[in-house]
Amino acid sequence: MLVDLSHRARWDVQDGAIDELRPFGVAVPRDPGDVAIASGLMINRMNRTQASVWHIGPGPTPATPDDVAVTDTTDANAWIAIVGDAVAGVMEHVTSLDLFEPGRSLPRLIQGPVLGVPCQVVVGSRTGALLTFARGYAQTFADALLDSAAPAGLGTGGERVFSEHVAAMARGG
Amino acid sequence: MTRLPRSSALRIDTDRRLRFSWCGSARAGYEGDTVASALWSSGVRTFGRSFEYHRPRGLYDLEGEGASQLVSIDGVPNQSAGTTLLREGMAVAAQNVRGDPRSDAFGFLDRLDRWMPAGFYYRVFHRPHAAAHFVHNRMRAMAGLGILDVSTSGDPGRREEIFLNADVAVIGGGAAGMRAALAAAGAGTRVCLFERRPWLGGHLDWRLGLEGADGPDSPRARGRALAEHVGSDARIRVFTSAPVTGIWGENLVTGFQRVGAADPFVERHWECRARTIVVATGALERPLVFNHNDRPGVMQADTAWRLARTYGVSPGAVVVFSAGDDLALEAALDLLSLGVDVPAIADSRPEGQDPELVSRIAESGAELLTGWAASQVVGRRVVRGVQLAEIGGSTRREFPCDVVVANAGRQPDIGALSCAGARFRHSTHTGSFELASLPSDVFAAGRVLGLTDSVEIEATGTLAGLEAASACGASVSGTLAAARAEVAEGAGAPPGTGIVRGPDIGEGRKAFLDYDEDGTWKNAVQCAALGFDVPELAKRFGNFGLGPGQYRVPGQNVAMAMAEIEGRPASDVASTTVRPPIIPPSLATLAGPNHDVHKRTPLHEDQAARGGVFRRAGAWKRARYFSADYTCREEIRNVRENVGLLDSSPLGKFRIWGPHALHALQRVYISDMRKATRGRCKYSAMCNDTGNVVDDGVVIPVGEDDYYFTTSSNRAGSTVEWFRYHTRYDGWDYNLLNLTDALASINLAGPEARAVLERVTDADLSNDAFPYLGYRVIPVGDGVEARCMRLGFVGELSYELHVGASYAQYAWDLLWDAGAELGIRPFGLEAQYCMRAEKGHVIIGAESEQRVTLLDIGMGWLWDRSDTASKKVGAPALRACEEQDGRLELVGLRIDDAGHRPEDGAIVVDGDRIAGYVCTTRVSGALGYQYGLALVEEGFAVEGTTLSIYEHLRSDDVRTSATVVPPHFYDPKGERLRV
Amino acid sequence: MTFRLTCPVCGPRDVYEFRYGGPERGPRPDQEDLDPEAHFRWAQFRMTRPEAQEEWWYHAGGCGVWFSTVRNPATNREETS
Repeated sequence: MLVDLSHRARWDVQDGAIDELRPFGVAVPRDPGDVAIASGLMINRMNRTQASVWHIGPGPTPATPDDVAVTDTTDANAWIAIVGDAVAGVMEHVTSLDLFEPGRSLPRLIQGPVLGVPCQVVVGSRTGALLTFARGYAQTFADALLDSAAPAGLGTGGERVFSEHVAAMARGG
Repeated sequence: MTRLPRSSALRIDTDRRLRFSWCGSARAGYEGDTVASALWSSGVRTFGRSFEYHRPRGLYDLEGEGASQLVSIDGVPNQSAGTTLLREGMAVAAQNVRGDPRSDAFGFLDRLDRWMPAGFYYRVFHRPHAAAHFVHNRMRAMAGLGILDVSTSGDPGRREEIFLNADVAVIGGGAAGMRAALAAAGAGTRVCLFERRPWLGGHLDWRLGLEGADGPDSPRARGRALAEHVGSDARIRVFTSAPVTGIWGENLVTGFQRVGAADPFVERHWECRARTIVVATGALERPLVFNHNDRPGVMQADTAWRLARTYGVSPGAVVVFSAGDDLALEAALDLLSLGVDVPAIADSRPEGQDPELVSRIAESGAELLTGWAASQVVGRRVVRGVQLAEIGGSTRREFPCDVVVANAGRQPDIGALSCAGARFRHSTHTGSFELASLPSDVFAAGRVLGLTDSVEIEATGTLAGLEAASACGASVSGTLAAARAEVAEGAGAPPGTGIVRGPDIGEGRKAFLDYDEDGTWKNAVQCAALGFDVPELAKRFGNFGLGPGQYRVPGQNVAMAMAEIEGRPASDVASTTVRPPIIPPSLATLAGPNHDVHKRTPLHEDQAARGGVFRRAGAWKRARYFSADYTCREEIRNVRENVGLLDSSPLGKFRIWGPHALHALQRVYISDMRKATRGRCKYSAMCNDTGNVVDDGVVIPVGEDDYYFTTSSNRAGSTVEWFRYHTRYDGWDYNLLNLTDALASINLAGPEARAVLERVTDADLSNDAFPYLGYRVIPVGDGVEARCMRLGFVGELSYELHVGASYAQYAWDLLWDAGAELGIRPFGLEAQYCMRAEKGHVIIGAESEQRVTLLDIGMGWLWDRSDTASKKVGAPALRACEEQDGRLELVGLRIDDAGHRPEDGAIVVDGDRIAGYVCTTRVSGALGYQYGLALVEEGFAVEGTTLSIYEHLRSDDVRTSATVVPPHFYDPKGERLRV
Repeated sequence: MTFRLTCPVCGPRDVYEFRYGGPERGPRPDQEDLDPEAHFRWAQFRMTRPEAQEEWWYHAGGCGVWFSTVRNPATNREETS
């Protein structure tokens, strides 16, 4: 199922000395592609100086810290979740990225094109993936995704589907 | 239409009858039939007419190996009859003929072949030139295959695409391919298997063993067992009905797949990125070239065999064979066991037949003639008989029959191998071209290696699968060594004759090397005589293999024929190259789902509701007009006299910060960026290394080492790339964030703009508190923060508000309500384009291009010449171009002619020389005349000069004259901006 | 024509994800007393040979990082020297 999470808070953390920072009190993962989850936040290391922080919950949205390295990017991109049994089958219709490459530990961040649009894709598990991409694409991207992946069984779902998935991830499921 | 006795190989359901029509007459078949088998079983023998000579053509093969069996189905042309499943209600029609192909008004062309030698259309009908045009058009009308009528061809149906990743891609689902897939999967690799037919097992599917025994040890049974293994192995992803169209750089395999039983034209495009590839595509029949070998009734051995076994249709009443390998002999025996009359079997091999097959043929009563082959078909419209002749002898015998099965043996199906980078060389042992080398990550197995023994075929499959797995890093050294040993024990490819043409065919006037384009043996001789003797040249000049058959029917015969004609050994020539698509996909499949994924602003729907007419602008859709009047007179007038609202959200917006942020700005901007001060918009431009302007915008410091800046909409996507590229050696510590989508931008412009804005904010908007070029962060409505700039792109008092995208609609609505009494209206990009042109504001790409620098377009005042330390991009080029002569310069134009207005792009001429061009022209409501901006040679750039403008419109030469004026028309002093 | 490049952050990807930034030509020359001819040669001249060369690429469709790599235009393959 496709769930729209665009209203949930997200931030950009960027600094030459990012490894020494603890935005929101949480350490930034060391290597690009690594994902850490703490205090309802998902922190994705993007490159040498940059990370994205997503509020996956549960819990209230933290306030944007007064830190020059942190910028609120909630409105900069659209955020969707693909949750369910056929995540690999769905994504196969819209990207050639090897999201479920064997031997790679999950969750992991993959940056690359989906439907031709550059995305940040966090592959949580075989049953859940999160994507952010430039906000302007939101409507046409969602329309194309639902159309292309309909044969794989993609439909729409509400936020409860997502929260249950996050809870399952926390339990290690 | 009686069908033959049932067997396990039968794929039709005789309980489900399907009706269809052929050239308008009602026919019937069964579910499971292809169009070809249904036509054959209903008595159709002539399927169409050939490309050039309009000869009757029939069913030669069942795999789409050539154009002979292309038919039109429900108005869609060029469908392969042999690979398209029959559907209820199909309307099937022949191509290249009107009505029933048994008779054709253009059939007389067949007798004019003397006047149509190889390449004749390149060499005749050139003089007189006018006649050539007429003749070529007439010829095109007569030749050709299907007709595409878009009004009747209907909806192409749903198209899909999938993108696969694998360690091993196995191409071919026969015995070798299945063994390779099982071996690779067993070694722990990710395997995808692609098979072009709807079933796995390849040709094992219809081989029931000698005399149709159909027992548990038959080839078919073995194929089914392997298919079950593969199907139940979860590590192998199997794709049937999935032909490969090409193999591209670094093992990208592409193809299409037919899905959806209800609609046989629904296709899916697939791509597989594999680390290694195993090619097990098997072998095709190599045609024998003899006189009238294209007659309806001449067919491949597999065609006759499958008609009988897969579809239960007798190929004919009397079938004569001209064979080249043991499989053809096996086919003959199988037909005999079904009661088909096979009086004679010629075999071009003088010896080497399987003794078991020879003895069973003797028992059957059929006559086996070794060292014999077909020489000529008898019959004008269909096969009535065939003359067999002794090879290298003088004996000839004629047999009445209605079907001739003929081949010269088998040739490897090299399509996929060739695309994967394989090289081939001719072998005198097998008499055909065989694999000589492969790239290191491509492996081959099975009949494509020339093998015929089933144990060997499967052993090579296992070996190839293990080698591929090993190349992916799987540890298989033990099993790999054992597999190698087993293959080494095999006998290898059996000998073949290498025969291409049948005995005594004479000059071969009607002995076809390639059916698709009517290329004959005589044509090949003509090619060689004209100097087109190398196979690649003969292929192109003589049209051998340029049709849908490509490398299949003409195949290796082209190279071997040219060698024979030239009297050279075949090892001296190279076989022709196969190029994608190996099997043609439909264009609709390549177009794919055809979604238009583009960017929309937060105010898109609102503007659409207000009558906005949208156009694509880069990645975005933007409102260009708000009425049917594309000159936008009312929109412009309303902005100049009242107030208008423009959605400028695609404007590039960025945050740059960090200890070296200013260094980076100094590098890419041409001005002194230290002069940027808080609360003020510093306007500047970015140049490239040749001094051209690539972008412009404003920069505002908003904190310590913290700036907010804007760029043009089209360049927003490249800004981070540009900054990082030009600072990549410096090791500077700065951060960049693209906020283009995060903030919507609303432009409020017109004399009433302040009055409107005052109603939505309590910030001090007086001219002293917030002057022109100022930047203030102001609250609007219920405390929504807006970054507000006073700029003047359209030449009126204007405020540009940047608010969070989620608040865009809220802010827009506030302004709309506040401006209702003041006549607020939306305006679009075209209105903006006209108004800025009246002000002489340059748009990059319109008034600025590769030949003009910052100085040429009058923006040199932006350049900080004194700063060499920053190594500004473009500065050296500007220095070099400053004193150059002959450069273009930007000027304004006043069009003298009140009638015709030259279009954007019209050229400025000096006699018969081009001296520049017109960038933009418009009519100005405010000014009352036609004006423009142009780039002209500096000699013409003096105020008052008369310019001559030339256009060629609708076959007429049109000249207009214009006067050079300063490029600022409306409010040249900018007073309206500064109120 | 589809080859792969190895992004230092994302790993091997299709070339369509990248934009070409030209062959390696060293840092921007100092502009104090710069000979225009010398600058033009640095900015414009390229020698393309069918052998391995160091090239700059930008991962536009992915992480947005600039990197240089050695690639042979004759084979389109990256070479690890």
